[in-house]
Amino acid sequence: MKNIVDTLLASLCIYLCTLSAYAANTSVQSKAKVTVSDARLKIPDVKLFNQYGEPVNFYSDLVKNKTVAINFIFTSCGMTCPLLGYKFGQLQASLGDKAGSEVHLISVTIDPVNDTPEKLKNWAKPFNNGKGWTLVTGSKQDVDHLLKALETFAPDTADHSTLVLMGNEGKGEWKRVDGLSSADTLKEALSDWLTE
Amino acid sequence: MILNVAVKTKVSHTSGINRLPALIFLILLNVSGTALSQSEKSTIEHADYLKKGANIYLSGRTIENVAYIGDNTSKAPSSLFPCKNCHGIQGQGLTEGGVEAPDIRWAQLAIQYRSNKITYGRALLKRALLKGIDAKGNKMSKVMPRYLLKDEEIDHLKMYLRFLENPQVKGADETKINIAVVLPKDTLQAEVIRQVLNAYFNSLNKKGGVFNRQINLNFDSSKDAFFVLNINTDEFSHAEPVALTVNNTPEDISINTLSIFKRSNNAGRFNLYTREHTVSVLKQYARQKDSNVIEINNFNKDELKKLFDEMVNPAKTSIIYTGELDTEKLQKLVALLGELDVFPLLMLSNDFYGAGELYPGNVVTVKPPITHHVTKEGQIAYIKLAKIYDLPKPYLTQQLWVLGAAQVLTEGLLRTGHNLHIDKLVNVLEKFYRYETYYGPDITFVANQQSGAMGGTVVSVSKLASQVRFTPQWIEL
Repeated sequence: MKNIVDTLLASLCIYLCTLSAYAANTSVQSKAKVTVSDARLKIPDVKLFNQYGEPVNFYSDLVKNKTVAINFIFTSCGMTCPLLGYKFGQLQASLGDKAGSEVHLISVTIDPVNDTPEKLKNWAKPFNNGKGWTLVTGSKQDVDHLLKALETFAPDTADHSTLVLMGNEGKGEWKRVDGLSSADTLKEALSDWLTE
Repeated sequence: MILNVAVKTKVSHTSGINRLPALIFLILLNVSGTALSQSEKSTIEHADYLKKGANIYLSGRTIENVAYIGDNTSKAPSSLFPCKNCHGIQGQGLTEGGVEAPDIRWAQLAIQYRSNKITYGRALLKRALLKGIDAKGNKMSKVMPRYLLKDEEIDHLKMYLRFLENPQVKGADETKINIAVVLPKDTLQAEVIRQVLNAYFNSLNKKGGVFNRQINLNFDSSKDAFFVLNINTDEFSHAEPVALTVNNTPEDISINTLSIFKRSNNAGRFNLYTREHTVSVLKQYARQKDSNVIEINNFNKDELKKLFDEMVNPAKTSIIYTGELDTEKLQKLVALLGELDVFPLLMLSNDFYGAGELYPGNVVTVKPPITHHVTKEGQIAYIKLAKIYDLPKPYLTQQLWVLGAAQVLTEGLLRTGHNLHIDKLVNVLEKFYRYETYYGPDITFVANQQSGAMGGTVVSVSKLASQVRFTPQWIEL
């Protein structure tokens, strides 16, 4: 009998915990219109190249101890990527001096086979790509490895994700935000890690 | 531009008359100054509307060049967001990144709203484009930018959306697909290629063709062709022994095919590389670096030492390695060069992807295009085909390349599916990644004729910094 009571109590406890977690999640969602994930990401330090063809180590150069916003694009994508690029351009402008100092924007190509550094540079030009916004490509093997680690890999580029992965690596805090939201929403999602 | 219509139907293509060339012909006829009849004037006006509508649809360039993004919160150039990007060149709609842009060909818009007896006129279309409210009064997706168009631009666009109702599939119907073949000038070579292609496609047709469509080869003209298989080796440099090109003969130019025509200059072309070609690219690259070139297919310490001792300027030397290579062997070669205290440009002519990052030291590795020999399956298939169709013996390599190209085209047609359209086929071909033809190197789509998107990386390792340095761009051919 005691076993049955214990089991029931344990089930009730799990149920209540789940409910409270759900409620916490929902309240964050409704506030900033973002989905928060506590999952600790293990980000590989793959060797990639930025839009200027310079080598970068993804983790140690771009992410380690930094606040970052990462989107996933490819230059031959016509529908959502220009919008993602445009939003990042706006976010960069809205961040002003904080872009490149407090927040680092990163665009990872999901089509490294075709996206050369030069192509990435030209692609971002109309969106006023500037300080604090790095675009990266590399070997397919490395980029796929990275995308899988960031849980954004899609075998078919048409199924790519439009989310923006935001986080503060030092604090181990990460969230996933709809990349098609307005620049204000994106900025708001970063606000926890920004100075006033 | 995304019109938020819930209905999304399959794209169906029917062959139709290519109207635009006829319209342009009429315009040209009247340049002489003869008085125009009312119907001729109306025809010219129609063509003008279509041209302007096509420009808006395909380029996104409007008079104001303004689009509002994200529920009118910010402004951007409309040319960044042309309609075709989301709704497709044929207006059939596309899905990407979880966003569905619906079919906006005029018939679809009419079907959707006919039951309510509401049709898009100028005012409603303008409201949809600028305010994001559809004909029924529903709010449209925020993903679609809002466009500031003038009244006449709305009329032009509407005309173009009507035009898209009748997408034209030239050179194909339910029973056949016409493929034009451009042959080399060399008569014997041309005859061999003709026989090989006839054999391959006859064999395919006997098995039911592609979705029950028979493949018709036309060796004399590209007129009425759905696709051109260009095997004129004289026309291309050594770089492109075989090229698949979309049909881009002048008579095919119409509004519908114009964008495809433009794209085909860079895209829609597939290169089957040979090892010889790879080596020639590497040599070309070495020469740009003002470097001596040594070509080796095997190595040992004494021979390498001798080679470098004889060099006037060993520091300016490139080694092109054409032999088979694995990681272990490459490591040995790099170590050996280190022992000899020479740091040449080391170029590998086989598919050695990822090799660059493994080796500290002053070594530059050029990863060339992917090359492979004919596989066993390819050999068996060829021997079988050669027996049945009594294929000639000369030009065996070319025969295999041609079969490789035919195989790529067949696979492309199969992946395109039953609803055939040239644009769909080009999109499918652009997705080819390491496709095994069995008759030659595997095929990866390479835009802009780069030296193999997988293999064009130049990796160098600085002796001083002891770190990998990559060149900013892939090598362009």
